[in-house]
Amino acid sequence: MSEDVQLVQRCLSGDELSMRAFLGKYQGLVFSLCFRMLGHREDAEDVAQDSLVRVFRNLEKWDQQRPIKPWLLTIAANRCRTALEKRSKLPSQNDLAIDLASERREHSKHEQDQLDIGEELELALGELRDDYRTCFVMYHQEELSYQEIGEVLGCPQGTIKTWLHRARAQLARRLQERGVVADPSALETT
Amino acid sequence: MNCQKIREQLDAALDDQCVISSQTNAPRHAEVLSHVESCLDCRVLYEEHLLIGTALAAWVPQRPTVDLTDRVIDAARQEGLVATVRSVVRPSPAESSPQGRNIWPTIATVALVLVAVAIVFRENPGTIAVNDPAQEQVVPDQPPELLRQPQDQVADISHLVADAQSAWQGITSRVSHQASGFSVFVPDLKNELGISDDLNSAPDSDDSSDDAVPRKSPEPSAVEKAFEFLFKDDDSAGTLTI
Repeated sequence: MSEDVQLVQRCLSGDELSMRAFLGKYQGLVFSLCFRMLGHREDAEDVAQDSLVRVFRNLEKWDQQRPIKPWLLTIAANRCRTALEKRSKLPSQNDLAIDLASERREHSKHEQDQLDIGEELELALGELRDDYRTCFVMYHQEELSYQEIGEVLGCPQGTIKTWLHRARAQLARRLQERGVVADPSALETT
Repeated sequence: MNCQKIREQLDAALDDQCVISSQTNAPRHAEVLSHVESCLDCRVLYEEHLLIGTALAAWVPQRPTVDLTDRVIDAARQEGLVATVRSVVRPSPAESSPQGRNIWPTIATVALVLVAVAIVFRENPGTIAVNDPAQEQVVPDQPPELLRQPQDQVADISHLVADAQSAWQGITSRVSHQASGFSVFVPDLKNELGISDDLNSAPDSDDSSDDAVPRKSPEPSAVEKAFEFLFKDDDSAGTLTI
């Protein structure tokens, strides 16, 4: 029996310590996705909290034969989509939503000259379309497969593959626009 | 190698979080280079591939710190998803052992026997108040044949005490056997009450096994003094000093 299965079974019995351990292990994952999708810290906290309570409420529905990470992210992604729909119906709320990219840009404006290529990538990520950014982060950060990302986002694998390809291409172009270049020696014949 | 094949290989390399270079895969790198020298579109794609691959290798994903634990636990508690402290307390080793689980019915049995003995004494007040002048005044009109002789009453009390002691010894020996590891107090009624052997029908076989039983002290105990006072033959109402 896997460690996750044992932890979940203790959570199902209502053991608070186990529930806290579960949260310690997975709340960062859920919040990270919410923050990437919503681009606003307070909104992300609220949606992540809602998602995690839903996780505990529906924990018995998790198929213990499958990894738990995609299941958690599916719940979080669904809640984020619902939050984004509500936000789109409330135009005045758009003003309150701080765009993740501009927040990052403001935060690091004075440090832009010192950014390394990894930090440049993080900055460029904030400017991506939500779907592409989520897809890129799930693949490269959370290491989910195409199939798992497709289940989380409710899309076919082909769509995920296309989104990931476009995300990489757009990121590369943004990096080039900012003057970041690849190692030129790689383009030279040896 | 055609353009489609090149693009598939570039994407496949990024899927594995690596780039095609002379260090990682020299033969494939040579194939790609030979193609991009003559294909401008694929050269652009390869430059992007190198750039994003290098950035991914240097990328430390920023996972914003947050602690939602208390908020989530509070919300879950409101929905009844968190058990109360009492319901999740695990049983102690003594409670979870077979011996620990079996001791409570025995204690309940002991309590029931003691209550039964108390009821018997309560329903036969004459056996207790044999030397109490106040009790003798309550039943002055009883026919002489119903009045029992003092020696019979003493015998009744002794039999009752002996029966109670027998039940007590049987139960306490079981308790002391089951509750190994505990210090069980098992009073020796026979010695405490000073009942003679001819009136005592309780078996003595378990006496030797009760190491935890406190031994009789050389001085008469308070209970002994009380019985001596109650069963005195003279009718004088003396004073009892314990």
